[in-house]
Amino acid sequence: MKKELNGVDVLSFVIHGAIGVRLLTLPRDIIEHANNNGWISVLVSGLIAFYLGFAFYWLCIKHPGLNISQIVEVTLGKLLGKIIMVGIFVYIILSIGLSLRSTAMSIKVFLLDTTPLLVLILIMIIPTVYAVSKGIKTMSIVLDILLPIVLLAIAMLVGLSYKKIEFQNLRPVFYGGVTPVIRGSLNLVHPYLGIGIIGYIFPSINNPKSTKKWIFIGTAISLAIYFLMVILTILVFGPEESKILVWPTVSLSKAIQLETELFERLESLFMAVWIPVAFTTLLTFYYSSILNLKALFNTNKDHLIIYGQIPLIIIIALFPGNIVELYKYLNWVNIMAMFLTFIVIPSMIFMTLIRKRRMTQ
Amino acid sequence: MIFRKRVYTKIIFISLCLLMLLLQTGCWDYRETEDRGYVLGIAIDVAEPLPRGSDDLEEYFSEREIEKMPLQKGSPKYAYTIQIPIIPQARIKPEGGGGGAVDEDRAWDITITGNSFFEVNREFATRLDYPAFYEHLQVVVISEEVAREGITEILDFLLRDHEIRRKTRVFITPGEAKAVLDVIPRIEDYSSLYLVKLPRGAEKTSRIAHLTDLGVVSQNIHSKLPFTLPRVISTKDEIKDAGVAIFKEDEMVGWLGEIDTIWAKWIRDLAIGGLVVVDSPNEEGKLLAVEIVKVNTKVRPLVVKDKIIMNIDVEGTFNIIEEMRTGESNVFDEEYIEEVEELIQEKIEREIKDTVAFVQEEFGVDIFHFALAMKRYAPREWEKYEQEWDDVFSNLEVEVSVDAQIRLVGLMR
Repeated sequence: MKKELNGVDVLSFVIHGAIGVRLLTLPRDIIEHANNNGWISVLVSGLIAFYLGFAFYWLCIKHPGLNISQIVEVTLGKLLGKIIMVGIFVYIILSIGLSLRSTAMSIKVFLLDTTPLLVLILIMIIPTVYAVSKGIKTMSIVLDILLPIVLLAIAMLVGLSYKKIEFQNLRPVFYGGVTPVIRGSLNLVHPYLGIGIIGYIFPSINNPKSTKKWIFIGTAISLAIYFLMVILTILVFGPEESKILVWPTVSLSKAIQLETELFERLESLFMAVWIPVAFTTLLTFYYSSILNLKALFNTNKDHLIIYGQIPLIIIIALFPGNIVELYKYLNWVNIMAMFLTFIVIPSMIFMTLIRKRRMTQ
Repeated sequence: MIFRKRVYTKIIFISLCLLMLLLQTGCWDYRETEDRGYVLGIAIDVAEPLPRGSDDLEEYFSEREIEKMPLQKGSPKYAYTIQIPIIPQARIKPEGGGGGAVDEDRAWDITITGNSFFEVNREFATRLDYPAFYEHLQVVVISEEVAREGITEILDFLLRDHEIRRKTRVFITPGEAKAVLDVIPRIEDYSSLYLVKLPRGAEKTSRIAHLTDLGVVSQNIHSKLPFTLPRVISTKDEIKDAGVAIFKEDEMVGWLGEIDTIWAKWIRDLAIGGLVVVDSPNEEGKLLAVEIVKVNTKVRPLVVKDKIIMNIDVEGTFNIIEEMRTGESNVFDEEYIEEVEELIQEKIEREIKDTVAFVQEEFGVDIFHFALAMKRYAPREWEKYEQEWDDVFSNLEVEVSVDAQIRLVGLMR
């Protein structure tokens, strides 16, 4: 594999991998458990984020030239490795399909009323497949271009809602115990596992050691974005109302209206930003899926793997009957993510350590 | 041959480009701006034929007939009125005939009676060739009779629909809600736009409640807090916005007068402007008026054994604006200023206590959101009192401490 990426390029991969369409609904999921302490949940979940970032970095450094799927096979043995790779495949393909559906649904509600669901899904998936088929350098450039737009939009949302902020909504701080806070933070495991993209792009980086700093910065920025979104939802709506809104982040942009009638219907603008957010996450997941499948079947048939997944993704995206069902499935995906994060990755680290000890002996 | 091949590819390429043009005509959801019926205001009354006085009876009934619709379920409970602006393009007048603009209706108020707002909303399509579009909805006016029965029924659609923004303002009127929309304002084009700008006067006087949009109502209902909505009354060409209606859960329980509204806003830390009038310290019967520069109120609960005391801490800065004792007055004097500050403090303390006592006695409804103060600053005690909060509220004590500062005195000594 050609080494086309620099250490800096990891930054946009990490942020885009971690910030997905779940950003639109996540504040509700967290506040549902943690009430007005949701922002503490996000801070606690920072531990998960940094753990993931460094776990992937460490594993990749210890196994140079291999991507994370290959490392699974090396560390956990052939049979178990293949089984886990199938698991990763199912996890990724479900994530792609369901986030596609979730994006398409929110577009349908807030922007394009009468456009058919299939068309929206196709419009999302065609550029994804096109960008992926062009190779990693192209993907990196696309992500770099979109990163400032996304960050700017989020900064704008924060800046524009300052007038509606009520700091009193944060009280009583810490009241209610630790358990709800932890339960709230577990909702973030699925988004943070998107950081795993570094496990797949690592073999393409020409100076692996230099990525450490950028993984750290990228994780910190993702954490900050989630923190801002959750705390802003609490500050503007209060915990009780946040639990009721289906798309709190979009409602937030809908609640903005300045006296001067300068920004009306701001949610259209923000929906236009959330679409790239969803797109970039799809991009990183799709790329991971391709490398994972390649490792699973030990092939180099790029085209078959790139295009072969499209029908499957569309079927998954169209499968949920309604929005309630969709979020039920997304919860299942979150449980899979927890399994990967808290069982598979630690055991990989453990096996690597054991192997290393054997080598030195 | 090669030449020919190139020509063919070119032709295919160009025709493909042209074919693509067909796809570029717009999206599924494209609709001309002129083809939308922009709903500016909604008025909600109870569904019963309302007398119109001077109107001819026969004409009146024929007009009323069109406002009825057969319902899928239930019987008509509400009369919904929407206001749609008559856009200039639609009323190009024939040439000649004086030239002076005839005073025509500027807005079209359509009423239909029904139960579910969505059913009525779609029934408007039977009379309206522009599909009703709610993205620019400005105001919702609800009549007292409807409000006393509860407003969650009618608000659900407004909150659930994606077109309507949470910034839409809600008003309550003692009379007919439609009459408020029917106002033909003097300066503004449409009564809804006139009405929606009135709460901006809250910077001038605290008699106007200003934080009263759909989002706030929804927040209060979902947090199970009582709340207030502004009262509007209307004449033929004017609307007045002062005082508030008190809501418990989602049902209106009574009105709060203009003066009480001022102090209720002070307690909630919502006062962003206004004034205080006190007696002039030196001469009997003369008045002194100060303007609010800034007011900060803090409400903190104090639980001593089984007694709850609410500490209301008011900090305000004021400018002297009017002093009636023009002749020999000397405002430019330290002692005088201190005296005025004391007078203001006494007055505010008394008024706040009176208002709280009045609301406790008259309504027993926690419109000051003392419950929130409890929840935030004494969460453990709050859990104990949560169930019987209404009783607790009616009996709790209030401690007021006021710190008033005078900054400026105007242009004269």
